[in-house]
Parts: sequence; C-alpha cells; structure tokens
Amino acid sequence: MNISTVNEDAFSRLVVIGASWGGVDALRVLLQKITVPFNFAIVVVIHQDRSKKSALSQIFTEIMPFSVLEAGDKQPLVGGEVYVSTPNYHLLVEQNGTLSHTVDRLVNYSRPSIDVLFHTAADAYGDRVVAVVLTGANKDGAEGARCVKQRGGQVFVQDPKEAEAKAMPLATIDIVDVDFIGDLDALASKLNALV
Amino acid sequence: MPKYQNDEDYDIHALLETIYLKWGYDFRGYSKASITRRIFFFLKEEKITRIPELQYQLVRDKALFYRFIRDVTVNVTEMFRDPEFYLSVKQNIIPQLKTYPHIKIWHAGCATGEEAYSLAILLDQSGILGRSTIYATDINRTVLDRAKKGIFSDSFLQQYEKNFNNSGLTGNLSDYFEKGYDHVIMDSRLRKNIVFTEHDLVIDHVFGEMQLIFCRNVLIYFTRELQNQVIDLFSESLDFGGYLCLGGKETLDFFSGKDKFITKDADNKIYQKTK
Ligand SMILES: C[S@@+](CC[C@H](N)C(=O)[O-])C[C@H]1O[C@@H](n2cnc3c(N)ncnc32)[C@H](O)[C@@H]1O
Repeated sequence: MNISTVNEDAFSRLVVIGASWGGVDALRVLLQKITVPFNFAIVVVIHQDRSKKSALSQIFTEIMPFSVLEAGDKQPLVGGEVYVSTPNYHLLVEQNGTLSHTVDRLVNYSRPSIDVLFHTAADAYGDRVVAVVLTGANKDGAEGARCVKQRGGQVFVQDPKEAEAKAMPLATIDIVDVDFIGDLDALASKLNALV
Repeated sequence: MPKYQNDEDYDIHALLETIYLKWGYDFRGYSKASITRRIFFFLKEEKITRIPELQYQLVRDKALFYRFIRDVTVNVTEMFRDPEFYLSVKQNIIPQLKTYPHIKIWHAGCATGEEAYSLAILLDQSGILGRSTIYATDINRTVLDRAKKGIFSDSFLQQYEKNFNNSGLTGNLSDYFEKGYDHVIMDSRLRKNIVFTEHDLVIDHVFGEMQLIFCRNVLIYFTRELQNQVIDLFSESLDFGGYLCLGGKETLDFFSGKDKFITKDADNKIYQKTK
C-alpha cells in the first residue's frame, strides 16, 4: 500500500495552464495551434462562475482535433489529452499521475485556483512541469509559478501587451524569473517544441 | 526502485503510518495532494518546522492530535450547495420517502451541518420531517459541536438565500432562522430530528438500514481503493430501494459493486440500490 505508482510513460511533460478574464478565447486560440499528436498532458484551470456547470470541455472537444475532457476525480493523466477544471472545485495533481479535487477555501478569491494546480503539479512532477500563465484580472498563478520554478520547471507567460487582461501575466512576471514571454502564437510554438 | 518519490513524500507517509499506529485513525488511503497541503498549513499554524518533529509531538500530545484532525480535514460546506441537486432530491427521492412510516437518513461527512439543516428544511416542506431521523456524522468532533449549535456566520447568507430560491422550495430561507448580530440561529425545530455523532468512514462499521445516504464531497479526499471500501459500507447500510447521493465530482462508475445500483440522476449523482 501507499507506494507511488508512477507510470513514467503516460506522458512526457506536464503542461499546466492558468487562465481567467478573457481566458476562454485565449485558450481556444492557443490550443488550436498545438500540433497533433503531442505527448505531453495539458491541465487547465480556468476561473468560471462558481454557481454554474461548465460546457467548456464539450465546446472545445468539438473544435479541436484532440479530446478536451472535464477533469475527472482520480483520473489518470495521459499524454495528448487536455483536462479542464470544474467550477467550484480546486484541481490538484497527485504524485501517482492522477488528478484530484478539493472544495477547500477559496485561494485568491478563486475556486479552482491556479496556484493550487501549479503548486501540486510542481510537488509531483518537478522539472517535468511547464506552467503557462494567460490573461486574467487578478494575481492567481504567480505564487504557483514561483513553486514551479523552484522545483526546476519552466514558466511561460502571455505577453501582457497582448492579453485581454494583463494583471495576471504581470503579477507572475513581477515575482518569477520567467523563461519566456510571448503572444499566443509564440507560446504555442514553445509548447510544440517541447520534447 | 525507491518506494517514495522524494523525502517529503516519505515524511508524509511515515507521519500517517505513525498516526494510525498511535491513535487508530487511518489517513493512509487519503489522496496525498490535499492532505499534504493541509499538513503544511497545520505546521505553520502550530509553528512546527518539520514533519518529523510534528510526528514526534503527535505521538505524545493528544490535544495536538485533535487539533490535527480538526485542521487537516476539509470542512468547507454551504447551505443548499448545488440547488439543482435539491430539486432532483425533491422530485426523485421524496415521493418514495413519503411512503415509509419512519425514515432513516445517514448524512456522512456533514461538517458544520449546513447541508443537514438544508435537508431538514426540504423534509419539513415535504411534511415528513416529523417521522424522519437524520444521523449526521463526521470524523471531526469540533465541527460536530458547531453543527449541534446550529449557529452560522451570516457572511455567506446572500449565497445561501440564492441557493434556497433555486432549490424548488417555498417561502424564504429566513423563515428558518433568527438573525443575530453577525450570525443566524437555525430554528430548533429542524434540530430535533437530527442526531449529530462521531463516525469514521474508514474504520467504523455499517450504520444500519437507511433509506437515504448523503455523502457529498467526502470521497474526493480518498484514493479509488478507499472510495471503493467506503461505497461498499454505504451499500451495506442501505435498504433495498434506498438512495445514495454523492457530490458533483464523485461517481459509482469505478465501484466494483456498481451493478447493485441504478442511476437515478447522473448529473446530480443520485443512485438507487436495487440489489
Ligand atoms: C468538504 S466536507 C463536505 C461537507 C458537505 N457534505 C458538503 O458537501 O458541503 C468533508 C467532510 O468529510 C469529513 N471526513 C473526512 N474524512 C472522514 C472520515 N474518514 N469519516 C467521516 N468523515 C470524514 C471531514 O471532516 C469534512 O467535514
């Protein structure tokens, strides 16, 4: 019991993306530029109305050449797939390569919180993590991105000039020595170049 | 191959193992990311620098251990969380409950009780509160003490009222409480049929012949193996024809005995035990 059963082959890298105000559009553009097949797993936390169910994964799946799933509890991560957060639940990455959830207090006035995703991803996967901070009107994700960096991962940020709301990218750039800043096109190329 | 990924992972496992040996509470089957996060908050709160130090003290300090239980469990809850769930309970479950002379309900993982009071309100409006008993249980005795008092901070009142209004109920939430300075006191009539008591889903036994079990947003804290074990316990505790209600991210899909249940409402996670 209690032995971490990491399936090393399930995915190459773990890409964690945080998006808030203007995030749906930014995500659509970014994801559509990802070349298939890809062997990293993508986990997205996006701030949405907490009192509503989200149809995001369904809408995205229809327009993308890969599956965009609403993150299931204890769902194993697989390369080439995208997992999107559920409103009102924090989304966490487990060391055994699965996703989990908590209804714990809001973090940065948000549930799900990008910091929680980034932090747990960094704890579980260290230098295999690539964190991407997109548009948003708050500072969620900055602390988490700092954790990712500390554990040897990389941090990419959407160019604040291009972002619909620049506060979130700026907050990250402010406290993290980020690896790359660029528009959605450039961010997609960086992801496509991951090995 | 090492069994643990890193030193911190080892520390957490050793801590949970020690707690089990010393106090008999078993957190070893909990999902690691959330409990690790809570343990680090606890270290900060108690001004303890390292997990092995916490482990040493937990063996020797019972009061510290109860604070540990209080703080590592996640007790966040609300009244009428997911209003459409309550609507579905009203439509899919209440009519059958009305046919029983006495109704036994187990509310597992009730936290500070907001959900138990919500259910009591629904039963009251359905005219069956008087012949119902709600056994509301939790592992955390501190939250149960608060649940028994039925006094809630008014900071989330607006949200609760909004939830209430979308739950298919009549009247207003304010019909069911008295407003204090910064809190509300729930009508004691609701309390009369609720029994708040300590019960640990991991180590304690079946809770006999229930017609309805609520266990929402508790299984998410468990690994799939432990989820299976606990759902088995629910299955054993349910009458034939009884209902099991889970939280939004929880499901019977991976339960080995899922053929004993039919899905009444997939979106709202309502299942009925038929075998
Ligand atoms: C997030 S709360 C859920 C409250 C409520 N059901 C809701 O959905 O709003 C989870 C509760 O499960 C309780 N819990 C955790 N482990 C438990 C166990 N082994 N046995 C019983 N209760 C447990 C916690 O103490 C906490 O109060």
